[in-house]
Amino acid sequence: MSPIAAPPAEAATYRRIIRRERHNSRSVAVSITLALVALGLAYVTVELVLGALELPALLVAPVDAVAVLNEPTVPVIAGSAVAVAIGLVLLIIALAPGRRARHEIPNTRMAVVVDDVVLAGALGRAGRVAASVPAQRVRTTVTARRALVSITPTSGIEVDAEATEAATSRVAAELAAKPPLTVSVSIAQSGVVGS
Amino acid sequence: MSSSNRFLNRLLLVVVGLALIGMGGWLLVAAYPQVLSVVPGLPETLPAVPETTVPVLWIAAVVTAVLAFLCLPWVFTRGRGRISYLLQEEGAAGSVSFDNAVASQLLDDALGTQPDVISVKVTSHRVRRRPALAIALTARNGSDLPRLLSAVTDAVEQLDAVVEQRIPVLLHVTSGVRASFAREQRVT
Repeated sequence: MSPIAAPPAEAATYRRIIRRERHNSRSVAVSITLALVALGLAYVTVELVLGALELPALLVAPVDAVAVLNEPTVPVIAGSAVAVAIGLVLLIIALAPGRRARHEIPNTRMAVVVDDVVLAGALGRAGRVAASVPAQRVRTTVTARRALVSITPTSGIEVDAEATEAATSRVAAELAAKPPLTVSVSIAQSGVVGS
Repeated sequence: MSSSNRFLNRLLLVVVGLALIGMGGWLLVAAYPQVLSVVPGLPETLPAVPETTVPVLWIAAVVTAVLAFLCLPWVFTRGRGRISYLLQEEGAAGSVSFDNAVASQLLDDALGTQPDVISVKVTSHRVRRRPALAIALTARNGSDLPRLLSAVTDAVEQLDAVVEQRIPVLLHVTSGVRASFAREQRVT
């Protein structure tokens, strides 16, 4: 079976897919924000129309609202502090990088994006097999650029630190995650009894 | 793998955020005009908001109504771009079309026997005006990732042979709630 040729502009498509998969879309934040904004604006519209028709207001007539704008009352001041805080949170959501805890794994056929939890599992597994300890005694954490495999040995049985390090590094090298991971192994000073 | 415009998402959050800071900030300054004297050259108090008149109320009502109305389509069009077919082509010999279910079943069959796979979900999307396939794979805790990835690559190559085309594929490996409750496989 001869490999089927790649369609044109495949590389650009993959770059786009991976970039979008590794970053948060902020769609949830936008949807919630705009739904609330729409509700708020709808309410303001109703009050404005009632005010223009000189009908009694639902809660606050526009005339009273303008008076409060010029001389804010205590609840209004508290409310505006909250509004500023929410505004700052929205700015942070909008401008932060929004990276997800995922890594890209280079592959010949497709775009591969793996959650950091899964990477941690794969590295922990390699460490566990090399150190021959049960799975509960291996704890692996993966962040954007590092992976730390912590192993608690069984009392009286020494763990081969070098072999463990070699095994985890081999898996990390095979996966070649992007951005690259620096793997380190830490073996606890005191072991525990039992399996 | 939706087609939501991410730049506009960010822009909208910035606009709403700045509007909230502006309105809240105005009220705070109105309440504590002392802060204006910190920066030299500013007036001592904020200009007073003028009394409302009926035409102003009508104009303001139209503006808020239009803005409220413009918000709604945005909320309902997030996450678009999913399609039901994997391939659709018009050729000289007629048209060929593959449903998403073709890929879904083929990959399910190929990967169902893998010990590390809990579930496979296959969806088709439109990316850069062409169909693309997204495979969401839930793996067991502590799975052998290199082996798993090569199994998926093989399965996708089988699919290539069936549809006689290379469709862009995204594989996303997760470890879902089910994976974290499931027991780890001890025998490998």
